[in-house]
Amino acid sequence: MDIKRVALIGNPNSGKTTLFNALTGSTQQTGNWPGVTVEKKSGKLLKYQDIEVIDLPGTYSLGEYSEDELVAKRFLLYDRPEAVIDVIDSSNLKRNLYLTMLLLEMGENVILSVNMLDAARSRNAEVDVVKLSTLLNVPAVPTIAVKGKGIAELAEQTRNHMDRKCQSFRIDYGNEIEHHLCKFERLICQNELQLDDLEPRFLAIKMLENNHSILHRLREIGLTTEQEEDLEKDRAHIEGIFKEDIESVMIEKRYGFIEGIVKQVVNKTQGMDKEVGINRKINVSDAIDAVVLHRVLALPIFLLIMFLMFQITFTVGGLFTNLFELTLGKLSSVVSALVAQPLLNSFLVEGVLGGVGSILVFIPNIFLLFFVLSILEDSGYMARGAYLMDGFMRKIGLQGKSFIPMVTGFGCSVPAVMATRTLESKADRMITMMVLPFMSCGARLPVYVLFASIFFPNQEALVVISLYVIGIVVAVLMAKIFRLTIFRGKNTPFVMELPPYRIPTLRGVMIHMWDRGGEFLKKAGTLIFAVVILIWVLSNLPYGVAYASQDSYIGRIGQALSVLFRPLGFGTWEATTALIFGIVAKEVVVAALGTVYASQGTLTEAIGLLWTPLSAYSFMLMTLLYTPCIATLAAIRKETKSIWWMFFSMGYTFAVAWLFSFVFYQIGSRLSFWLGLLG
Amino acid sequence: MHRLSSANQDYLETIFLLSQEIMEEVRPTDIANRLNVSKASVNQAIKALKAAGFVNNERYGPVVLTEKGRFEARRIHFLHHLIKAFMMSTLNIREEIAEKEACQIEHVIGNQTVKAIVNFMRNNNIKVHHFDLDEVHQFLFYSKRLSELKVGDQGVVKMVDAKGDLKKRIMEMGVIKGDIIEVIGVAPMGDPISLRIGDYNLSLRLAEADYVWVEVL
Ligand SMILES: Nc1nc2c(ncn2[C@@H]2O[C@H](COP(=O)(O)OP(=O)(O)O)[C@@H](O)[C@H]2O)c(=O)[nH]1
Repeated sequence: MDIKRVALIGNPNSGKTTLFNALTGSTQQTGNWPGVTVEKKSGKLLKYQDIEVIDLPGTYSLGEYSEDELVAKRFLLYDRPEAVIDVIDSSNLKRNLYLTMLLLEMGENVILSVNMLDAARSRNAEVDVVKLSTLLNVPAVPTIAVKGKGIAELAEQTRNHMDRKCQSFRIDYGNEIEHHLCKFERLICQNELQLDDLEPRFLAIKMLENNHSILHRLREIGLTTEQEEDLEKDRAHIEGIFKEDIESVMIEKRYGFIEGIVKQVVNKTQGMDKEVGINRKINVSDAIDAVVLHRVLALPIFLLIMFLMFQITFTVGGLFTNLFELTLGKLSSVVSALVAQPLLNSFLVEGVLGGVGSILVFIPNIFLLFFVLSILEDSGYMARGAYLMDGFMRKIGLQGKSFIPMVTGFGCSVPAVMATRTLESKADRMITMMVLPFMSCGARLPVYVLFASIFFPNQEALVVISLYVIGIVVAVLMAKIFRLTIFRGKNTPFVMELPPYRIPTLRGVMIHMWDRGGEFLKKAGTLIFAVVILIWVLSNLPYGVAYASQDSYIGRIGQALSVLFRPLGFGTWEATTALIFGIVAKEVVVAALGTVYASQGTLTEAIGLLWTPLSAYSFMLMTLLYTPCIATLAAIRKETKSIWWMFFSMGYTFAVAWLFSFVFYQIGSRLSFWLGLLG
Repeated sequence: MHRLSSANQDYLETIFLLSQEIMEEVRPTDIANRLNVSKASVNQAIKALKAAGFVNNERYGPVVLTEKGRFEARRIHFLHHLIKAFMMSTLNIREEIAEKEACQIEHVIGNQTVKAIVNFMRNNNIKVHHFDLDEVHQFLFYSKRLSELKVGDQGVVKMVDAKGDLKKRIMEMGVIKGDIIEVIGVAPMGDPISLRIGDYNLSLRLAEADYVWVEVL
């Protein structure tokens, strides 16, 4: 069977994800676009299994502004799908049609999905879909993706138009420009400067716009320097007339054309001040913004929402976690009872259940956090968060959108690393990813609680808070340093849409939650599992030693590395081994300490006896800042597409942690020595 | 937006004129000499201008107009000559008086009046020395950057003065000549701002909003 491909494209927030899921059901596959970290999703049309739908990233244009845009553009230009479904938000027709213009100009076989008709209607605007279809000379299907309306029709139309040859479509750019376009079209035809099956007119437009990649390709097939000089002259001529650079002129002309279309297809029923053109009727979205983005109220509301997010994640998540742990405990005892062979028993109980289990217990937390994040995202609040935080984030060399991953980092660094995908600029994204792990994730809390309760019984909360704050400060500091060194360059512009608020649907939220959380599950099953097994093996070799004892390989490694930590106040093999285990997952540190101190009474007693408040705090600092867990490292590797960045992250966080603990412990011990002398 | 006192507007204009005349760096001493005031008051004015973002000045260094400063200075300068020419030509007022009073009026005159004067002079073919009235007209009524509008203000987009990718981005997001923009909010830290254009809301940093010139409605 010949598989045909249709690309799904549209502005962000046009309902593309919802539509994609409605069109393809659960048959999707995810992967990455070659060379970039943008996620690629594809699936078959439910009714027509011979048509593959490829979900392109949400984009406003087809330039080279962000990785998302590039991916979309490259796919259309080089992979030439048979058809393109263009999702447009009919409550915001003008801006959405801009992308449509670009697609039509490219000569794509476009099928319009005129989405969100309900939203348009509630704004008192009726869109004449038939007329739109006639004017643009493309099939157009009215849809309401959330309610599943128009989906079948859209699939039907897509199939029917799969083989349609591109219709001719042209925007009239006015005599001045048309004259030149005509000339170049002729030049292209006469010299057979044919690129794939791209229309001569499209090429002519791109030539005039001085599009470097197209010009480069044309040069390769015979565009001469003379012709280019000619082109240069023509461009200068037009720019002289319009007193504007050519690209801007073209954008304006396109919008002018769109304006004409919108006038013909949108019937404003009432409440619209035509003269002024701004919808004067206070709509719900603006009313919400009046409160949520209020100068004084905005920040308290924002903090409250963040607080609630964590509250929900960790209280509700906690219930699940307990359930998980109980189940795991039960399972362990069942396995212990069933499996007599000691090695196999240890493998199953300590290795598999203990190791992987320790990560799995966090899954409820992670999924819940994603659930709440998806609600915030689908409702439109997320963009407001970025808007509110931009001022602060810019001061530390980042931008508003970095805030979301940073906050997510308090829950778990893995989804946080994945959440950096929304950042357009590579530098912003890298910096965010590199400093994220300093945000104290939920897994580190048990370590603080253990030590704080032993050494600072009355100031537990204070100690824990101090660590969170130090984490934030270090993240801010490192972000600034990165911005000034490795990832130099100007702040990227911040031009962001504030989408209208929408009531999120359970379906949509589940889809988004799964998009994010599924990754983590997969990872727990593969890489993390492998490392867990490795550590288990090291803990049990040479054959016959007690699990993770001083004589086991892991104990010996701990012993050898413990020198490193001597200046930090905890240079024992026990502490070192616990930290090594902590790389599997931070909360394992506590369990590991339990194991290594097993011969010295209860954990609390042993620690109370062998540690000092100073070394304890130093150790907590280390736990807070040192090398992220393998799940996070794996995420960094995946998102940066580079094992080197992963190693960098491993190494530099360790160095930072060591330095902080070192300075703290050395100053602390001097101080207490002198204070001791003073009595 | 920060509003300058008339005295500081005068300083700004002086710096502008000096920078055009002497073709080299303007120093506080030059300004003091020109206006016949003490260096201390000049320094004070420079401090205020600097705080409002109109000039850059390192200690003991030259005074350099920022782009915003140059714009504001040019605006005041235009107004001065416009008012003076109007008074002399249509009201038959003597030059010394016109000169002196234009100096005062330029600081308080509103957009509507200026518009009326410009239209009147254009219709009656009255020339302003050194200036092309069409240019003045253009200039005065492109007269605000989006970043200078207050919440609730509306303006018609006149041009996007950025370059390259940024310009393209701003325009592709729908900020197009002739569109009406309303400033609907400012983030708690004063930046970015949120805008309404047609059917949707957009947020821009002040740095980007600086590039968008609007005619205030
Ligand atoms: N009212 C309305 N909301 C929709 C429609 N389609 C999608 N949505 C909502 O719009 C929001 C964004 O949708 P999503 O599919 O995530 O958009 P994407 O960013 O383009 O992928 C979600 O809250 C959806 O539930 C529609 O036809 N009508």
